[in-house]
Amino acid sequence: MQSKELLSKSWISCPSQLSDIRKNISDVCRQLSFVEQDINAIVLAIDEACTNIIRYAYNDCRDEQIEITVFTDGKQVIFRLHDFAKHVSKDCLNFEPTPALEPGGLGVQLMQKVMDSVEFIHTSTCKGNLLEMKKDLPKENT
Amino acid sequence: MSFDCSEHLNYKVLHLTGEIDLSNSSEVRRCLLDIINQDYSVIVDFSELTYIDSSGMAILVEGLNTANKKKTSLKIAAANGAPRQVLELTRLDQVFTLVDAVSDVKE
Repeated sequence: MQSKELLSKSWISCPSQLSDIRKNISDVCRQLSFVEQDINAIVLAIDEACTNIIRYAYNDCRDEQIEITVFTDGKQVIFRLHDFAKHVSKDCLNFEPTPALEPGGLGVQLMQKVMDSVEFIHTSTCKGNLLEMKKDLPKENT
Repeated sequence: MSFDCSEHLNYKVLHLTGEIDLSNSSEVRRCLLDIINQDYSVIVDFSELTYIDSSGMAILVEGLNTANKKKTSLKIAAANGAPRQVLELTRLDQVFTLVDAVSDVKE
């Protein structure tokens, strides 16, 4: 099946934009017939990824760009988050679960738990970082 | 997001309303730590909270650690929907004392 684009939009790297990003992701997930619990989880994972871009890739610089593209190949929904910061190490996705009373790494932990795959795609033509997260579509939608 | 404070028995109750994310979690942190540093035990009321991300959860963990050091307590009341899911996904539901409602805390 040919891939179908569901969203392609850009936001500035300001925490005040997170609410609008969540709304857009939630709308896309609803379109794909995910149940409420999955929608909440997917929205959370994307929010965590954007938060990490703002805090760590852009060092809290609030006027950079975050581009989000969402498409489906008929089996999965694919979220691509593109920032234009310096390359970050792929190792930042390899985490050791932290003891419960240490808050560090919660965001990455959540992204890994919710999505079926989370990885950085590094290409020579791609400026910045491209984070790709995939989630299987609900059974009735495949 | 907004928050306000009330009292229940010997507890300060921090009522959180709306969505907590990176844009406002530092305000919640200041308020929560301010209460705990006055040696109060705290109930954080989630009944009107519709969303919390890991930056918000990290603040609650920091609050719990501070409360433990001060031999006071931090409980979470009425965690449902998306905020409840975050607690479960992070397994913090096994770390915090969760109660169904503020009024369920009897002592």
